[in-house]
Amino acid sequence: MKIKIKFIFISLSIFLIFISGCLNSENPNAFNNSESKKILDNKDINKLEEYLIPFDGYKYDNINISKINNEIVVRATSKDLDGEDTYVFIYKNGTLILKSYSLEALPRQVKEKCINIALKNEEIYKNAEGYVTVKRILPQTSKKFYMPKVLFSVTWHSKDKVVSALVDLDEEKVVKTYIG
Amino acid sequence: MVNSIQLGDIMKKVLALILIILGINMVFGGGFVSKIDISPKHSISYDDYGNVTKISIIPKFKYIRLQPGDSETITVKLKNKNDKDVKITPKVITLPYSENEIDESWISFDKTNFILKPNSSETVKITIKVPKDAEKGLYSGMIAFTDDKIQMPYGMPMYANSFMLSLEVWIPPSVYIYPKYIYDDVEPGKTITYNITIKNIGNKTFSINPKINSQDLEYWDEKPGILLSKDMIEIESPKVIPPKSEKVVKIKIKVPDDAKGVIYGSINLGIDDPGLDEYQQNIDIHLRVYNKPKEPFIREILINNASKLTIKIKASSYSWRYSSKIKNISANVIIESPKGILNIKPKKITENFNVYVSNWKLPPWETDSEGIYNIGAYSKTEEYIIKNPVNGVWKVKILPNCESFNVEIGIEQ
Repeated sequence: MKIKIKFIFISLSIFLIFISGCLNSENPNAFNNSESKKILDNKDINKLEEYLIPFDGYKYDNINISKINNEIVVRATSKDLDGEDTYVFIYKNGTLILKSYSLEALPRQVKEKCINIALKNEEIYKNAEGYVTVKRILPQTSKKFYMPKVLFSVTWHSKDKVVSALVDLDEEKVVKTYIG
Repeated sequence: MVNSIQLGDIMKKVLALILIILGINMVFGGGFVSKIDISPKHSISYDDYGNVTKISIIPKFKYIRLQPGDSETITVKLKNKNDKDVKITPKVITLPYSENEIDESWISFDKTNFILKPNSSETVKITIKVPKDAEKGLYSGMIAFTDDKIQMPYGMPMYANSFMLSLEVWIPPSVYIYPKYIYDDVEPGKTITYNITIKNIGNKTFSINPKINSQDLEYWDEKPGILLSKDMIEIESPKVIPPKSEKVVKIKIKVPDDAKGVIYGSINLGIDDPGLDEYQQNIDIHLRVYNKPKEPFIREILINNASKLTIKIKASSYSWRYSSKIKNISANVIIESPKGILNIKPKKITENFNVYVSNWKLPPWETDSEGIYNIGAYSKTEEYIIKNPVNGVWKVKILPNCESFNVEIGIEQ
């Protein structure tokens, strides 16, 4: 019961954070690749650090930056997490913006839990086949489909179709499904 | 424990708070506020509100997080788009349904009584100072800049020119816990020890007293669930966590011999760090009982004057598992001829990664990852070739440590 109340308040807090437009970011400070500093100056590294937020409660141990044409590709890993987070940035009118991302650096337990929650949905359960991926979806994407909070995309890829569930881990529920 | 009546009251209060916030949003015609543009997107017909004189308030909401003893100043911009003077008298309004009120004495204004001229703007600095003895929690409050009120559809009059403040008073935890989940595949009859690292970065000593949670836990797996019981678990824990130290709590779980499905439960670490809520020190346990085959999978092959026998075994794992096990997945193959076990190594080993790039293979919420290589499944194929195999019954024995495997047998005459 208490946990539920906490969740309500946490959800409400997230809602209020969003409407006040003051989402905080964590400073991972793990740019241990000296090449990174050749590619970007300190100002831009500081700017990047604002964007690079690992899964809650963890930190990036290694962040590598490469520049391909006008794109800056950042790959970040943590020794405590499975998988890799990839961020692609571009400069737009002199400002660094996040163009795309794929965040798979998650605790194995979280991935398992997300898959189990997704499989509780009948539509997903009936259609899921092939290999499965679990990715963290950032609030700026989630808000288009549900609400501005971190959600998880659990996706089964097979030869013929893609079956996906958008999972709210706090509420332990599937908020959207996709079969394509 | 919170009983259902208390929970109902709290729920009502939370819902009322949300309605108030949404109500303000509706009244002012603004959508969600962003850092970049917080101006209303559409003009408002002021006549709709009778005698109420509305002013523009930017921002209309603010969430702040402060520790006891800390303070923060927020700047709010007021615009008078009317053709008459508006008297500004900022004050803290008590919300009838709010659980935790921001005390009036915590809030001060740099200006308390002034006239906002037509088509002019003015800023008001609001300072929030949390007393040192304030309790942790979520507080809310409304600041009204004028006395104008609007009757809302749900009955409660709303201050027309108001600002909503949400304050979370928090105490930073000194103790960090890793991991907070134990999810694993386990075999019946085995005892597994999981280590939970407890790190105290603070300057105080905290006590720790881990206990299995006996309350009903929500169970979400499809497989039948067994609630973790005291007889399945042994906890080795220090009694205290000294300042600037790292300790380990050992959770030893004995999986019953006849276990099937999922063993689930939770352990509360019982750490007296005021920065940690109860739910923040729970270790969730979810163990899938996996009855691993004890005997190998056996396939018999009848050879009769063949010139070549080819055996391909493909061991596969899904992407989210392989990252930590990529080098380890194997089908563990034994090939037995009619004369006995062959000492044979694979002629060829093939690794196969499934990589996808374009978003037509992705759900809409993953289109932001287009252009980034996404690795899907991983498999490793071992190919064994035996030339001029002796006649008789051959056996391929496989005891896999992967999620699935595929066997392909080719006989050339």
